[in-house]
Amino acid sequence: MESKELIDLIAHRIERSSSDTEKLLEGFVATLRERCSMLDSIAVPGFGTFEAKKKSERVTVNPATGKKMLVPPKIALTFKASALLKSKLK
Amino acid sequence: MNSKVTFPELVDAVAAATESPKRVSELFLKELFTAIMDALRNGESVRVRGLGLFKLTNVEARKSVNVNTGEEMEIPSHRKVTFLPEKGLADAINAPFAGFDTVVLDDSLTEEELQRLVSEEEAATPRQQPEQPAAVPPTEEELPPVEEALQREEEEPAEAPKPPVIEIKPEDTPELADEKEEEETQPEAEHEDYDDMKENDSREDERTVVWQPASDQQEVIPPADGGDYNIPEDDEDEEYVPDHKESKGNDGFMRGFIWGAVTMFVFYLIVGGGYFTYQHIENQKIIDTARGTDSIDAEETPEEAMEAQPAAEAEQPAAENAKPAAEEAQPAAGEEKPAAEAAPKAKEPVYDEVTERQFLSKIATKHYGHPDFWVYIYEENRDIIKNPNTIAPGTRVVVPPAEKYGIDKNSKESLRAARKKIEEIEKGKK
Repeated sequence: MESKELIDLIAHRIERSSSDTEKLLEGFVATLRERCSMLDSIAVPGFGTFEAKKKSERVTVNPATGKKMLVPPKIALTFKASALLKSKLK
Repeated sequence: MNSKVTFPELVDAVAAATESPKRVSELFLKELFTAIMDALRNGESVRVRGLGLFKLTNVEARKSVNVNTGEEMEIPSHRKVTFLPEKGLADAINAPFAGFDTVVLDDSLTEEELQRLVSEEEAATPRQQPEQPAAVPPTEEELPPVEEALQREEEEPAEAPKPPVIEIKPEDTPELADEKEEEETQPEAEHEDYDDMKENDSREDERTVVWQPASDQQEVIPPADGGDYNIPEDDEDEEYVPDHKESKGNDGFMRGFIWGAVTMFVFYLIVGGGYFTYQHIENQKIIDTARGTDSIDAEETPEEAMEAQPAAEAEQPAAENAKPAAEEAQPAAGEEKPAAEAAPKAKEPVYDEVTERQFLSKIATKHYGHPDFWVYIYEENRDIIKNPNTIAPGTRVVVPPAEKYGIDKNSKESLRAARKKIEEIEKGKK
């Protein structure tokens, strides 16, 4: 499902215009970005948890060339599905 | 930092960001997630603009074991959701590390070098304390007495910062075979020197406590250089202290740092010397036992000997400037004895007896100055000795004159020839 369809679906369900819904979605993404930049985690009950995790640096080997490479550390946004979502998907 | 944002907090935040009532934002969020969930349940992947892609992936069935009962069970195949954040979002969250790029490493760079580089970087930034942990790991491999000594050392010059990485350089420790000769040939003279040292330096005294367990046969005398190095060490500490107290920025710190490094290095020279003396004595014992008992297999003997000897050999060239002088004096003195003994040998055969305590290697050390020359005594007595590793105690053997086989304990060629012979004998037995 593409973003447009999703927004239209939600707009229909909350009985608001698509542009309003889009604005709300942008607000949510902005909040998520802000909090996850602070390494907070956002828990949505029944859905899952968004969390920024720090991955430490590591040395990998390029299998094609055999060269060793140092991969720098990074902060990655991860999503962990809740038990409810998992069981629904089974 | 690292706190958990709950749903009500999220609702408030979204309401504030969009300037819409909380009721609307709550409704929207609930619908957003149920819509995504519904779509996922229908087997659809969901892309949310600005956020990313919720993707369904199939997980194959796999076997597993119940940890409680140990029963084998199968995890059935199922679907799971994976989330791929959109590039813009991922980059925004990774902003603190955005400046880093993947670096292709040089092939020659090993793991240890990398570690050292990292610890050097760390040492350069913080001032003193973090260096200590780096100093600890290598010492754990050492013998317990050494650890004790290290602890003592750490307590004594409390102000001296430790070097970031301590490299134990066994190559720098003095020649062991020579040391042993020192002990055997002139313990008296050494002991006097040592007493002097004791008076001069109370710390040296403490160290001897560590040294004692290193040998159970004779008094162990610290290498001659121990005293030489120790006295400047004290001076260093005295000089260093005022520097540190003033602590005027980087200059003082760097000077203190260098002094600390020098102190630690000198300490390791001393401790390393003791450790190797101990090992050498142990090895000697093993060799002796191996040759004296019948149960030990033949292979062990040359290997042990090989390990102990080349190590000792390698140390000699690496030794510091001050040491060779002291060392050269010792072998010269030690030489006299075998030389004197060798002289009458040329005329009449010299006999010695194999006992429970004295094996061929010991006899060789006594007459030629190096245990590896036992092979020549064996050669000379082949008719009496069938197996050099099992000789009945009380066997009288002829000790050939050193010249007959060109035995010279100071010549590397001579030693090498003896070792080659040992190998040949071992091979011949197999």
